[in-house]
Amino acid sequence: MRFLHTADWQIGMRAAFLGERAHQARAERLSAARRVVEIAHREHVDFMLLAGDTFEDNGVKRVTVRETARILGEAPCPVYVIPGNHDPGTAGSVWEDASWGEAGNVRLLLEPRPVEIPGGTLFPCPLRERWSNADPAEWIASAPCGGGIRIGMAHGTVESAGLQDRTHPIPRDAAERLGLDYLALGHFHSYATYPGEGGAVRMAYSGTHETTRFGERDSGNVLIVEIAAPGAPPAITARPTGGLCWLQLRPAIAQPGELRALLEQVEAIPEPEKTLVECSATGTLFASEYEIAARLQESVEGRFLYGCCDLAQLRPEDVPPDWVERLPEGYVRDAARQLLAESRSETPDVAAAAALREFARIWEEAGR
Amino acid sequence: MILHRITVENFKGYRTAVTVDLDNAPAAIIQGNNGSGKSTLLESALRALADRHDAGGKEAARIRPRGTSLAPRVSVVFEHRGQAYRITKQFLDSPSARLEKCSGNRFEEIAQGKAADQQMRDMLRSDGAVRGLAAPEETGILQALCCPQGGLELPGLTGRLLEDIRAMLGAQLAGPRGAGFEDAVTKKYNKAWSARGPRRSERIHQLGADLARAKEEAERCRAGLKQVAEYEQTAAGERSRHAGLLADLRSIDTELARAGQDAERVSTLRGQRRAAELRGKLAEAEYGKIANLMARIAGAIETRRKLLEARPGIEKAAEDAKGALCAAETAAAAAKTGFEAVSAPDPEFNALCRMADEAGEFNSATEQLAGLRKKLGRIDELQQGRDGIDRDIAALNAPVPDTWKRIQAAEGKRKEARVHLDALALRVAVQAETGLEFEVEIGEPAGRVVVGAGSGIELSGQGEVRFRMPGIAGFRISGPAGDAAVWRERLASAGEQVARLTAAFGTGDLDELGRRFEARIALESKRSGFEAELNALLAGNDPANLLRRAEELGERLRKLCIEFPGWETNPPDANALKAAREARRAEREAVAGRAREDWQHAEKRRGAAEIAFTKTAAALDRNRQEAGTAEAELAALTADGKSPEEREQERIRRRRECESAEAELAEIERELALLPADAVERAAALRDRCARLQDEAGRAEHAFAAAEAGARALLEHGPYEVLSDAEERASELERLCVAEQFRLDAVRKLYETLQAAKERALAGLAEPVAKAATAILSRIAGRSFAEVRLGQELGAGAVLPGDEDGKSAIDELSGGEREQVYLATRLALADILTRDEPHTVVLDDVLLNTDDERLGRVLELIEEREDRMRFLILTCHPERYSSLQNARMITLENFEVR
Repeated sequence: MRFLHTADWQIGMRAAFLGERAHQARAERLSAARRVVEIAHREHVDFMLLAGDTFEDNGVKRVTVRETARILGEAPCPVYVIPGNHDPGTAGSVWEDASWGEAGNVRLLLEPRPVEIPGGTLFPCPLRERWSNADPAEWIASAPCGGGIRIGMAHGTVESAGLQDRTHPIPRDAAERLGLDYLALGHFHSYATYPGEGGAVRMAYSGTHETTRFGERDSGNVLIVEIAAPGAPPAITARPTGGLCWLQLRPAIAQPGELRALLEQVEAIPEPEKTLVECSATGTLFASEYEIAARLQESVEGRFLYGCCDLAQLRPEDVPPDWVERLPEGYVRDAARQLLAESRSETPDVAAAAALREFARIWEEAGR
Repeated sequence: MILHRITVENFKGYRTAVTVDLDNAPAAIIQGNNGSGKSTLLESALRALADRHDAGGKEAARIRPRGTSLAPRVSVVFEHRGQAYRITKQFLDSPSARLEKCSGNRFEEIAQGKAADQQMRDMLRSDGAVRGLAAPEETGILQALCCPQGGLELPGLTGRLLEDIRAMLGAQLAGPRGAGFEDAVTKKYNKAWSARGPRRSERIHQLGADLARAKEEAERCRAGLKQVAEYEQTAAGERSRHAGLLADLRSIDTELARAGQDAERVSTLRGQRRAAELRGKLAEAEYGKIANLMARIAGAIETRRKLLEARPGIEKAAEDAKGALCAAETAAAAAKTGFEAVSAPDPEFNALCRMADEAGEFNSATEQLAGLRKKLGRIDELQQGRDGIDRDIAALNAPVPDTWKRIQAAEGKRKEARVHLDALALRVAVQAETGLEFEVEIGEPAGRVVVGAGSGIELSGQGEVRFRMPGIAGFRISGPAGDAAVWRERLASAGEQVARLTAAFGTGDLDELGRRFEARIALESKRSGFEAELNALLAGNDPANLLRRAEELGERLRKLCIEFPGWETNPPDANALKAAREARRAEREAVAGRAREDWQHAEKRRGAAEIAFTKTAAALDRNRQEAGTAEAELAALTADGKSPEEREQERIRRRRECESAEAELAEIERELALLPADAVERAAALRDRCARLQDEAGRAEHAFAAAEAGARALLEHGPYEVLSDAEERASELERLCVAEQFRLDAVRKLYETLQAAKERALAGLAEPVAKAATAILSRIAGRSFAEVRLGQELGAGAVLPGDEDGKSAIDELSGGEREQVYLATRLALADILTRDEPHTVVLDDVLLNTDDERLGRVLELIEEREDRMRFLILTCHPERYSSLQNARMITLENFEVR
């Protein structure tokens, strides 16, 4: 048995921080879905499991639902889908859309009932509510055994000490306890596995197929799972599907030139239209690098799909910049020194720093 | 600005056109006595330079020559930034202004009217007056460079000039590039900011509005999603409730079936119990009835037996009582007879009683009669006396008191009239020595009167007496005129009244009448005494009644004397007779009392016997009646015709029926005890609950269906993605807003910082000016005299004496020192103002209190500045400025140049 395990597509997910570029990020999630289907084609899987949260919310537009159904309908194999906590099988949910009936290979599993699949039995654990303290897979224990390889598919939180999210809890040994050869999980956006007592991994989160935020670990994959026979350990392989690059830069500038190097690094990032950058620099702003700081800010915030450059924590060095000292003696230079002092204070005034940059620019223009 | 030539016409004292040519001399001294027109000339030049040509108002009207309607006209040729100009203005009438620029050897007009005014103001750096003539502080550069008479003090610069001076000093501090920089910053700031915040044209306003709209839309979407969540929650809750209710219904169904069976059996048993109870009660009633009949028959038989046994005894007692009653009646009749005998009337006793009563009456009547006779005698005496007095009064014919009073009043009036008439009377007494004849025309006696010799006559009259003695003379004697007629009339009236009042008494003699009146009063007094006694005796009685009463008493006494003949002579002892009567009466009453007691006792005994007899007779009747009743009851009770044995058999049968019903009832109760006591109520309650649950389930089903429909309706439109769009738009706008605000804040920060730095720099500008003024002052004083301190507006505010600590007010200096401080300040300012362009400095009689030595030093200072200043000095002491080497001297005399 060879199948593709994916989850948490979060189609329609909003990304307010991206502003007007959020729709590109959303479109990229559908593109990633197409890449998942391409992998299914390429890997010749017997079927696909989509373990919940296909959609970010039941309130996504129906045209989005139809587009998703159309993409899944292009899969070369049966696709088994369960509702997750973001798109639970409630009244008016995305699963009531007529387009699902048009995709013949897509089977919505809205009831906790064994389903015969190629080479075995699938035990789906669909969610009907957003929050619950009940184990969604618990019913499998009392379900008919089914034949062949026993595959479970659930959406919830694998119990772990210190975990805050306890909705739809699933025991860490659920697969073994329920006699499943593999339990395909959805909910966490990072790829994660849970080895059993014998070392065999029979439970795994595939993670989301397209990264959803900065700092998200091991996301943007699907899993190809292969199980030779009932009881055989599954072979799990991750295949990348993500299209966006989420970069977080946290440079600490200590030496002159480092800021310039950072600028060069940023300007060398490929495919900026598919890259999101969050840059927050700390350290010293050297007198000679004011212009570089301005260029860095301009580059980060203007070049990428999304860019945020926070240089407020860069403290100007104590030595006044040359251009300030070259100003004629009088109140003009006094004003520049005043702004410089305020931008260097214990609680730096960002407006003063910006005003100083504006000062430098206008002074240069006035000199031309 | 350097002044070259002033032409004035029709300006205050200047009637004809006068031109003062200053040439280009380093110093021009215009000398002249007081009133020669020096200050007027200076004023005319200032008006031409700084005033609007169309300035009006009372102040402006004063520049017209007094008593004329001439239009003032002034023309000034001057140099500004190396260029010669001529300004010509006509004021008040057909006002005009013309500014000409010197080109070659001639002037060409470059502006006129208000435009000319404005260009002049720009040259002077003046804002000008809003209306009327310009005040000194509105004359721009002239306020610093022109010192009018008595106006050397510079209170402080204002307006554009002050800003210009500061700007000049500031620009020098910042340099040319700094000025350009500042201009650029200011432009940028002014483009972005107004006093109220970012300008409306700024993008941030549009961004803010778009952001607000996006947030509103996002909020609406959030509300929609919240509603969806609520619908979902409601639907889940209602579904759960519905399932629970259905489960409850299923469980109740089983319970209800069991409870229904119990209820049915309980109902059946309760019916059977009611039937058994009824049968038992009927059997019990029948049993009771027969048992009661049997008991009553036995009771009736027993009663009859007892009555018949008691009857002989009762009959004997009745017979005995009857005998006793007869004996008692006989005894009572005898006692009654005895009492009646002793109670019969006693003629002897009655006679005694009557005699005692008559004796008392006889004595009383005798006494009354004597008293009556005495009273009647006195009454008769008094009546006769009274009648006699009445007759005396009638005979007296005297007036009653009221009449007498009225007569006296009339007499009083008559006397008064006489007194008045006597006072008014004229009397002429003539004693004739020969025979005389009088013809009295007015007076008494009237008419002809002849008086013989030796006789006399008295003629009288009231007011006037007129008579004539024929052949001798006519006489007229007049006296005081008065109301003689009135008094005569009153006298007559009073006399008539007296006569009328006294007519009834037959005399007019008032004395007589007075005596009669007195006698009458005495008689009436006596009569009153009689009357009073008579009234006391009669005490309201009629004398006839008293007489009749006396006659009745006499008749009664006569009759008693006939009945008791001895009494006429020997009146009876009434008391003795009364005592005898009372003794006899007591004796009779004692005998009668005893007889009455005997009779009463006999009557009591008869009553007791009668009661005893009545009782025994009643007992006998009752016995017979009860016996009859018992007989009748027995007959009624046995009317069924049954025998006692038959009745006993029936009683036993009824007893067995009762016991059968009780046994059946006990069996039912035993079975009921095994069933729930509230089986029926419980079944009913369960049915009610079932109905309620079905209703509740129906409502829950309806509720979750409605909630689900609501959720479907809302989700149909994809509210989440709409929210995403709105939030993302809002986020983008917010970012842009922040960036824009940041940019604006940076511009403002830059501008404000620059301005603050400039302010600090300019605030320090007064100090170099003050230092320069202090140096000039030291030069004038010839030593370190005092340190000048200037205010923000560059006016001299205070001095610090060189040899003392502490600051002094300018007012504390002497007049000469004060004007030297002011001059030093003006020269220091002029030094600044003339750095880029030379100017004329005007001093109009300003150093009047400065001593010659210091004035000499002042003139040195003036000469030192000849390369960049021209001095125009107006004075009436030209000799004081004689040391100025290059000065041009101009003399004014009576508004003309000499």
